Amino acid sequence: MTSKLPIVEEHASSLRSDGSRNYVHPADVTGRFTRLRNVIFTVLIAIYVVLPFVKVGGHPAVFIDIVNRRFYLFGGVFNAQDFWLVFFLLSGVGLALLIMTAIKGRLWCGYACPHTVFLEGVFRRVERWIEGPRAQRLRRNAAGLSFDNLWRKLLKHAIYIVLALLLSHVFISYFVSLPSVLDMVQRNPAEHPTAFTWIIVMSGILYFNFSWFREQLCLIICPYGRLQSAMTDRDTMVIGYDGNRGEPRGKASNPENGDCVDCKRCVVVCPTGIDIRNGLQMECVGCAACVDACDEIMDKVGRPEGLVRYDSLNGLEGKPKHLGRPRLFFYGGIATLWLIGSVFAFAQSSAFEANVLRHTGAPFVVVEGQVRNSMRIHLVNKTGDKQTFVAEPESESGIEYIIPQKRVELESLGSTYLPVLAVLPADQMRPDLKVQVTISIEGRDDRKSSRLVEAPFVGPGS
Amino acid sequence: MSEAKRTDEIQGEILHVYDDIEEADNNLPTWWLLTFYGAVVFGLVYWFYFHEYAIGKLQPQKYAEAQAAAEAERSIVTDESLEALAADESAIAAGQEIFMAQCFACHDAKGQGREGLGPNLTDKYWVHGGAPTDIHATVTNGVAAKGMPPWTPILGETGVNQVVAYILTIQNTEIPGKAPEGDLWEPGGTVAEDAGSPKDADSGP
Repeated sequence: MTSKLPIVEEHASSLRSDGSRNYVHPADVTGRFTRLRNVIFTVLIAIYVVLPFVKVGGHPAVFIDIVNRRFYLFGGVFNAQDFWLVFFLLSGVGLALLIMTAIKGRLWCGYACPHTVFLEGVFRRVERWIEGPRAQRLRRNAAGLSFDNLWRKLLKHAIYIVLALLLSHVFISYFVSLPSVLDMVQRNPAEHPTAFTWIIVMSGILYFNFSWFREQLCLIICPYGRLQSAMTDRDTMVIGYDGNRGEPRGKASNPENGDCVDCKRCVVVCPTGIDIRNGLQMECVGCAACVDACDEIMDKVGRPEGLVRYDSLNGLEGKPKHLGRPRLFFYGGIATLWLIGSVFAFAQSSAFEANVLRHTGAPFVVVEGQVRNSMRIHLVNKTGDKQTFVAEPESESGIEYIIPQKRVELESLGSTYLPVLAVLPADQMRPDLKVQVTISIEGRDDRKSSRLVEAPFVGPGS
Repeated sequence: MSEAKRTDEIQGEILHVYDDIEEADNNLPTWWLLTFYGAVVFGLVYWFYFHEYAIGKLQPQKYAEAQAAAEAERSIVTDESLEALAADESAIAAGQEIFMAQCFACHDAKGQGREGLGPNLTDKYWVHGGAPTDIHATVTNGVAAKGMPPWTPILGETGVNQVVAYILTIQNTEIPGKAPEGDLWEPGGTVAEDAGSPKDADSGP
């Protein structure tokens, strides 16, 4: 059992006991993790904004056209029939998150979650820039309404609204493509009510989230943090306070005290308003602000850094650390299965879809001593470019074919129906006959560009 | 279970302690409660609006109305309605586009027909009747023996009507092509006896 740590007098929570909000005003912090985070935020925001402009193979690098069920992902072309592949995508992301969390804890929350990236990388900076550092913000809010406060608040929220609109426009460009976003913004909203509603609702949610809701999303809505205790163990890297070294906390002048000088820097820099010295908490988003804050203080009082640091719970208590744990072997096994499944799933994707379909009504007719089967081939171009498809029947079985349109040009994800009439003299009718047509892409001879499609040839006595 | 009560400075009064897990009873976040009360109010409004006073229409009712409206709008295809469509430039253009994408394979680009494939659509002779409704029936049902597919599943009712409208504009334009097949059909003449159920003709592919 861990020893009960004394609890700070200051109210360390984003909510008070009566349910009212204790609005968090984190103090500025500098240090190596803060610098690293700023670099990562900049890179991630740049990717988010630039990606809609990037084209791969003539199509947007990421284009999730839900309305027309076309999906372009870094040169890969998918349609609604490929939706089952999403299983491998999502389960892969889930597995990666599980494995990463078991080893390195909530790095996602602190460094890569879009909520953190935009809140810490953009919106809090705007607030800091307009309303000043923590002490000044607290003083201004306590002072009540004044001209100085009013224009600062108005300016801040105006910038927030503009930013929310920008973010949602970038977001929607992943779903309708950038040219169409640029086209729509120049038109009357009445011409595209759905897209306009999306933008307004999304901007409203983003504005509400980043201006007021903030850490409540992580603490009360997001399931990931709530699952923390199930996904981590005593050997997972977390941010923790070395109680053995720090306690008893108190003035540095008293030699009886531990290394913690109880300056509460770690509390005032925390974006979710917790005290890391109370141990690992669901509310910790792993931002490492307290690590940088404490290192800075330790440097000043001439004590070694790392009183608050990245370490496992075992490590913080000075116990032996283990990397190999049963859960990691279990995750590794599932990941191997996932990898095998994914390789097979994605390897079978082909350059086109071709299916033989029968017409409605009678499956065959007998005319002039001939059995005739009329059908059509549904053809879909699954490549990213325009292709010419060639239909060539196999007539070894004695079946004669009439394919009026043997060559057809299709745009990327374009589709058509090729009528096929298969004819056989009735006296040659026998069981297990097959209509066989080879579909190939002109000018390509790889394995994926040619396929034999078949359907049973039916008639009297078949 | 320990019944010892103590007051925690963050959590307030601790009511239960079990396996070192302490439970207090604090208020829910105010913002969360507001969403809860908001949902209650919405539920009441919904109940009175849709059920108690039936001011708004429920989905089954809206669905039935939409079906009735669609049924009322759905016109029966007649010679007159198809001829009227054949005077509509946009319908003809749409029909021509469909023709060039699908029909040309057998009937060629101008509808003059191809040897061993589809008959000439521009002459006076029609295998399955040349009246607008005859052509409509042939396109809709197809001719299984000749490899003419039923087109409604592919083109839809609107597409079939449009392509028939286009064919009516090339009818009797006498473009040289495949030799005439079937019976002579005069515009305004009697409708073929079996219009609507295409028969097999003597000449096949």
